[in-house]
Amino acid sequence: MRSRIFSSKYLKTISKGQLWMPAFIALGFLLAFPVTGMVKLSSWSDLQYSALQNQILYNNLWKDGFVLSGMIISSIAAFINSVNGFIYLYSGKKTDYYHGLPMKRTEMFLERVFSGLVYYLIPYIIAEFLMICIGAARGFFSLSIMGMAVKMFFLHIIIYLVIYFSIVLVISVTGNMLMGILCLGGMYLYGIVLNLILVAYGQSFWQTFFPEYQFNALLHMASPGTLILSMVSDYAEGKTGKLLAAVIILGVIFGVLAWTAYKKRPSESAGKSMVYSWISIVVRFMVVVPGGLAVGWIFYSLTTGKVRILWWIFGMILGTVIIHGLSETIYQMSFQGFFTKKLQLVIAGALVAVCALIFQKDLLHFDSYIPKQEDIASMNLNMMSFDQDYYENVQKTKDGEYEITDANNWAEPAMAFVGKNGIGDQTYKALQDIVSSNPKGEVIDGDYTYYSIIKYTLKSGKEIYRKYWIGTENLSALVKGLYEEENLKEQKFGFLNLDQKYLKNIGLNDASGNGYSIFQNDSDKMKQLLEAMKKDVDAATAEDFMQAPEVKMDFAYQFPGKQSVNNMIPGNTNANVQYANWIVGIYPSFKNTLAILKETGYPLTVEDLDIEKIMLNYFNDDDGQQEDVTYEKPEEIKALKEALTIRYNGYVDKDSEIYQNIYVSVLTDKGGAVNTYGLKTEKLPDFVKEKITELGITQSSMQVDEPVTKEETVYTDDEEDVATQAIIGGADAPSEIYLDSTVG
Amino acid sequence: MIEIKECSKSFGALQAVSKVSLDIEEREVFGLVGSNGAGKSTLLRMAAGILKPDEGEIRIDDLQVFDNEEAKKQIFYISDDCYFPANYTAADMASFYRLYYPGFEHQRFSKLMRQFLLDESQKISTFSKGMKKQLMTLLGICAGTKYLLCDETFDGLDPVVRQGVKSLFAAEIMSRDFSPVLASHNLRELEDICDHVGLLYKGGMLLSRNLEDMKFHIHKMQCVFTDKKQEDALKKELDVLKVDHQGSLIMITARGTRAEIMAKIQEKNPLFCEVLPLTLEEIFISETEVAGYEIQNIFF
Repeated sequence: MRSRIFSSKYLKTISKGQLWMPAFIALGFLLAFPVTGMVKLSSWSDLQYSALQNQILYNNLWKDGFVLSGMIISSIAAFINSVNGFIYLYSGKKTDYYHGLPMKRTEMFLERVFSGLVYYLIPYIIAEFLMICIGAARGFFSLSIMGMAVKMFFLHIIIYLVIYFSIVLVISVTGNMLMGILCLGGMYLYGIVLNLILVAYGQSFWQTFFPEYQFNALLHMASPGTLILSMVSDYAEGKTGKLLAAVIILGVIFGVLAWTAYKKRPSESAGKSMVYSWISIVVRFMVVVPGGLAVGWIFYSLTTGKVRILWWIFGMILGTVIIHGLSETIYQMSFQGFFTKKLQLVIAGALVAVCALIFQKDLLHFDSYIPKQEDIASMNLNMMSFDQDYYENVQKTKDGEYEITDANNWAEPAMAFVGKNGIGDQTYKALQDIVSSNPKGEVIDGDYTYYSIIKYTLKSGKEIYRKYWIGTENLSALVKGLYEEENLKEQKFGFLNLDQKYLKNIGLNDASGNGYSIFQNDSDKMKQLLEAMKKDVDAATAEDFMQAPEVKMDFAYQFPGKQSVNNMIPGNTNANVQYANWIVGIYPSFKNTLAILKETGYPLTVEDLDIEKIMLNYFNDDDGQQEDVTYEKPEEIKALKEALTIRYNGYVDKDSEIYQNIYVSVLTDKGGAVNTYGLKTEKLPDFVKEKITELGITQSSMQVDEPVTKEETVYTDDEEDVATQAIIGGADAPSEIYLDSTVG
Repeated sequence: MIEIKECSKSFGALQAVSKVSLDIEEREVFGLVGSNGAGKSTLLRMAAGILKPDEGEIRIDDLQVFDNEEAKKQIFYISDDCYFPANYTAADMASFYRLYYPGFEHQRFSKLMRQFLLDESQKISTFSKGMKKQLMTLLGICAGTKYLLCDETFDGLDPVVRQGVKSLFAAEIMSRDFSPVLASHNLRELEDICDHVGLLYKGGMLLSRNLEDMKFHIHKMQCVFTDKKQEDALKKELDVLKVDHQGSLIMITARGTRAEIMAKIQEKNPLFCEVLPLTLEEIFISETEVAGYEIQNIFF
């Protein structure tokens, strides 16, 4: 038999005095759909977009704009309906009134959910239909748009129900408005705040912790709000799958929990703080433990030196006591409750201490962790941290389109390094060495050290991120492994397999660092170069790639792309182009390539450079003194040329042979050279050695005299205590970290 | 019949109702009396299926009442402090209750509203406390339920309306299967309407008796004797509860049937003797004393 709650008469009667809700929601949806739509259509018309562009923009509106505005109104509607339907539980008088009616609790629950859904759906459908009609009147109507409208409709219902049931759940487990607001805030913000606390602790205590990618799941999954936002964001990009499923599951969980909590809620609970006492205990620990840690961290971050540990402990004790007291005060609605429940306070304190020790003593072995080799499916590495090369990944899709992933998105699956089955032995050994030699709070090795993030993707699909300080030797071994066992070569030189018709420009950076376009409008020469290069790359061994490149070349490609709302220029139908760029080194073993490049006449080696002057900047670490000396005499230049080398990549062995206390500037017949040069220690001319002796320079830059303690690795201006640190470069250039010695 | 078996309910540390057992028969007016905080409202709320007993059970016509729609259809509960949805008129309330009580008589409701000089179309928020109580009582009567649970319903009603409501109850009992349960802290309010009275004290049921039965075993007489010795002798022969003097007039409250007491008085040849009506309070004095309580401690 059909329940009476679904009859129109019933709905009409119980809706007496409630019509403001659908009216308010209708106003919201009118603004979200027809008004927003008309505003957009009118602005596109003014901007004179082409018909195709208009169609793309209109389609995008149904995938993105309306989804977002509709989501906001759906959230408001869910809030209004849920509060209106269940807020009576906070009043004993109202509870007696409704629970005295001859109606089962389950039916009453369904009645409220159903009536709220009706108040939501009727305005929604009317507003959405109106928008479809407006679009159709402007010439935008197709089955695809109808499909998107239907999909968006279901997406919004899911969002509505998740938010609706989450609020009902909160109302059902709390007894008064204050607790309801606090718990609702907690439900939506807890994951975000917990994420912040964990990130703060990870950054403070774990050397290999990299905040950008850590606890992301917590941030996205632990709050219904962030989960929904992530889903909507993914939906706009056309990849809703997993997150949609997660949101649906969350909605079902909330629905079942809300129904259970409502059904089992004693009517006399109105006015109490929490309906179920066990929940109040769980909530207290969930708040007090992170709260204690958070207050402790605040004290820790405000102080320096060894005494900060004491401040940290003080802060944790203070935070635990205060937050426990406040939570009990709120529960009991009386300050007399501040110092009650001492046993729970002690347990909370113990949990805070355990959590603090997990971070401070690294009880989880976070820093020393490395997945088992057989578990690793692939690894990603930000090569730009120590390599001047730049490469992108271009994949042709089934639709014949090109998907481009650039090197800045080094953590994307397309940029992963992988061998035949996971990663190879040499790579894994290098990774193990990197992990084991990473400073564990006591010492950073004296070697030239790079900072890089490594992502391990396990075969289970789990992603693990760590940041390491990597010495030259380990870095070199790792890069060699990547060339030898993984697909670094294919990644870097992937452009050689692309259709040449998309190649628009080839650039050459000669030995001075100056750049030139070569073989312009000479496709045969371009083809010849590409073929030679392919042959060289195929023949090159890992050892060859470990040499310093002779020159750098860049290859600019243009691929056809779809008109996208992100790169649309009004009226410009040619904007559908995607760019991809490669900057790669030409190594000494690339004989075929170098032979062709020789034809350009540009200097390809240091020897080829016509040097007029060499300026050396001598600097003394000990007293900070510097002196510039210019060498112009041919014999001096000849002697210096023999020692001169270009510094490209951090993992090249040659780098460790460079004398570190001299900066080199070169002036050629064509002006200042822009490359970074160094002088090989072994081949330093006598006059340079004499100058070094005269200035009293000892090569200490890369030789750390004293250990650098963990605290000292934090960037600071305090020169009395710590080593001077400098970071050179950024996301698009090598990031080199120079560590000077500490003062004993 | 409403059967309450060993029912207990506590709110935190407060034991509101403790192991109460009670049967409320059909077609009788049941008075539930007790001081403030005695547990009357809690017991009624449990009987109405609003609260779930911690222990024991409550059955309405052999159906468990909590979260049972069929059982609750037999009950209309009027709380001490009624809630009315905002902007509702009396007619709206009637329409609302019609959804839940299939036997709701809307026409009769309109008629009764007119009789009680209440305006159906007026917003309830403008009603006085007494008018709201009248409205709820009329809604309860018109709902057509078998049991009407009224919590302090007569509190706030003027004497005329109170009499009118009592007449309505009497008429309902005569015309259909109707059993009102009236909870009150005021014994005097219930004495002329109840058939059966239950006395709650600190959450426990002190006694539950039929009023006629109680009245049958306790009587109040006023007599005039020629000799003081006759009076003393009579006091020894009767189970006297209370003796008052007004000049030569003696008022005696004693246990026993009217015939037994009268026979013993007549044996002493009084100059004058007549039976006086007993108040509910006077009856309770005797009954609570048996249980070892002082009625003053219970009510005052």
